[in-house]
Amino acid sequence: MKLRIRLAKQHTARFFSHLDIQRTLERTLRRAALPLAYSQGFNPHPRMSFASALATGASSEGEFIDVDLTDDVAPAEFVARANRCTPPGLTFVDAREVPAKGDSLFSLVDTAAYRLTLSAASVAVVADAVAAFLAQDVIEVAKEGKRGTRLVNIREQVYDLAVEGSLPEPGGARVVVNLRAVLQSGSQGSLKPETLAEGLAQVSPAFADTVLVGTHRLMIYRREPRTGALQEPWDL
Amino acid sequence: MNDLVAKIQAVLPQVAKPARYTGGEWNAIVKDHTQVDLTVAWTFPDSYEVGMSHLGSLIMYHQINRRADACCERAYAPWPDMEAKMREHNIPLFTMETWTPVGGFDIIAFPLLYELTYTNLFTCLDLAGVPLRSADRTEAHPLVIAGGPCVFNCEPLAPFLDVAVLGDGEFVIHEILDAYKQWKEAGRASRRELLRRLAGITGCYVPAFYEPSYRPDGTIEKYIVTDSAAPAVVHRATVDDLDAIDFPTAPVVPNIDIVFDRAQVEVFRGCTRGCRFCHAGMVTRPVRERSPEKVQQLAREVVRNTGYSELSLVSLSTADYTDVANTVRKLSAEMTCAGVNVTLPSTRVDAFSVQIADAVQQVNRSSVTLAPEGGSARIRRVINKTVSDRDIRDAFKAAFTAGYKAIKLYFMIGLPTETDDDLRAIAEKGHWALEIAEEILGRQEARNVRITISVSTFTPKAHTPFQFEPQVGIEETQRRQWVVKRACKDRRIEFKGHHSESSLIEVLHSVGDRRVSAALLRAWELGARFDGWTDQFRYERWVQACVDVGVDIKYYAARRKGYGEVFAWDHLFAGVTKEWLIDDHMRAMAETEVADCRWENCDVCGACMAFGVQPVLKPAKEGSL
Repeated sequence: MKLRIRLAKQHTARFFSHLDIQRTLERTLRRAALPLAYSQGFNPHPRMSFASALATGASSEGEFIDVDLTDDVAPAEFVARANRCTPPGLTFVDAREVPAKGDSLFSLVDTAAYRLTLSAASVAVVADAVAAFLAQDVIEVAKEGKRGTRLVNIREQVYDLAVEGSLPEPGGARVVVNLRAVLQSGSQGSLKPETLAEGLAQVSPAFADTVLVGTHRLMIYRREPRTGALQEPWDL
Repeated sequence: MNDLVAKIQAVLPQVAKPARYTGGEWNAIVKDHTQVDLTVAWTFPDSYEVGMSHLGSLIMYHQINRRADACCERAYAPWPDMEAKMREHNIPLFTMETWTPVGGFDIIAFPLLYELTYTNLFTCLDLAGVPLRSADRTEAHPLVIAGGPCVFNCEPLAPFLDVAVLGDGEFVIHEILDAYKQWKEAGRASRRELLRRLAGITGCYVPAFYEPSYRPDGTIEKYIVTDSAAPAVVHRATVDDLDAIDFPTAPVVPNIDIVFDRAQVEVFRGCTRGCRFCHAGMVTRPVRERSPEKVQQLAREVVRNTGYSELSLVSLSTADYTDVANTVRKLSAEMTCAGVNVTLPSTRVDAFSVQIADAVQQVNRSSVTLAPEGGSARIRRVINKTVSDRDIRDAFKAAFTAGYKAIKLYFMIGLPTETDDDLRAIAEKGHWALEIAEEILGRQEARNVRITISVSTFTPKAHTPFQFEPQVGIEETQRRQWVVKRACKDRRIEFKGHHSESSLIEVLHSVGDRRVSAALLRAWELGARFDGWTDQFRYERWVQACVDVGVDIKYYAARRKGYGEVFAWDHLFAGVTKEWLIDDHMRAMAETEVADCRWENCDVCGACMAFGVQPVLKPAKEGSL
């Protein structure tokens, strides 16, 4: 059977790289003695597939993996057993059975929702930058690629952007602002939160001294291009 | 405290591999400091990836933490990027488990595995806010102790260590903790009193209680014991039965990739093959095996508790383990279906070993690694590496028959009595391998074979028969490397030479005395960090440091030492007597081999008699397997 699993990565676990997460999950599931299906060959690995990589240092409550099992395990039991064997900061949130022959998670998702934490001079600085950003059709940012630097229109990679709340920064004149961002994230292209911040500073110079202090991924989706409707991995 | 957490969290995103510093690993032991009497900061003077691979540290972490009255937390030398951030933001060295400043612990313990980590010890102490010199520490400062193979000549570090602990740590650590606890409960009266108590424990060396004097020619005249509590000669602590000691079956599992990222079970301690350059083989005698039943039981537990997909059976030469074939076969059969591979860390140079390694090695089937150490049969007799030309050919045959297409060969150059013929014989082994490959695989297939010849430079180590020998020096090392390289006449043979400059600085540490301590400190002040890493090591820095403090590198590295000389480590007894080392050095010059006392006659090296132990070989019990 195949289970689709939602994971959270918080606290110290946000410093795990994508490869660290893979290795750590493999060991976690082994410790939990869950009936993992292994790949063939000299160096067998549990058959697990990952939706998309997350930058080292970012936290998340919307990581997804698919795991192949040789025996049936109730999803709730799987989550409970796995959670007894995870290192601190890594949590199995939910699991559901999916068709064994479905497409790979990686090919299915193309969008991610983030909560970005900014240290800004004021809420207005961020709100103005967001409004200016959304008002334009083309915002080009230089992106370094394998074949040199090229300009990319990041405006079309941003599906939603909104200030969600703020609070005064302890002991300072600045404020901490939470920004909800829905960005392209998949095999067809991804927009990094850092690049988004560059774009905001480009359309609104007052934004320039704003610092991105935290990136938290809320969920990943498949986006319907015509309607903009977002589907969670469970429904794919 | 919360302030510190905030500061650490702020710098973590700005450094490479932040998970090196965060802790939060599976099986890490977090205790409430208010509920224990003693705290120990186990501080590895190298990167997290290296320190976490060290089995001895896992063993000691377990030994200390299994006490209800003590807690042991880990710290590692911060990489230079992190060190800079810590200094910029006033962050002290902190532990992985609870992010507690190391300077607040009762004891700071440094494992010293190789010489070129010494400067990192200064970084750690300095970042912890602990005075570098033992003499400057007060009752309020932590006790600074060190262990591991390097402490058998820790004189270059003598002014900085309160106590050096010689030998097996499993029992002696508890004696140290008990003594410390008594001293602490009695009100931490006088630091000297604590050191006096510790000096009375077998295995504990308190450098402050020993005073060297020197002759006009620079050699050591004598060592005077300055405190009645200290013995004239400090004996090594020795565990006689591995089955009777606790082994960590739930070791800390790293979250990031480390050097030896696998489950480890120690199958025996010590080695009596008697290679004359080998420090480990002289200071860990005799061989003490763990029983196959115990090894297998521990292996199952470690794999279950860690989730590792690889299990390594470790020792100084695992192919020499009495029950190796059986144990490996049994564990391998049992674990393969669960996706776990069994591996041996090193392969002896003969067909048997290659076949055993091949039977289990499913991870890296691409190459097999062999260490004949000496090119010619003559030089192998000099160094007592008792491997025949026939063994080498058989090992090659076994490797190619098993389907390997690449062989890595390790050799040493700059060995005593070495001639250019011996050097050319190194390259010749590469050509032998190719000839055998062509015989077994055919000319066509053999075109894809790759032979790597790695050559390191002989470095004299204290307590070995070659402690009297000089190192050949930088230019001569380079010339000898060139001789070998030029004799490798096939493009399928790749030659790799080891850095001659770092080998030279290594000698300064390995056979240095107390006067060298000034050079170590000066090199650190000039910026020396992570000297074991070729990308961090700067030779000029060391040359400058030695000039600044008046230490002559050549005196330590290039001088042949006399049999009658007093050495800086003569008062530290590792088990092998100086008389035996002299005898064995003379045999080396006569190209005479000595047999392994595990299987042949005792050669009376002194270890068993001194420590009341015997070689312990443990074949499997009848019907138990």
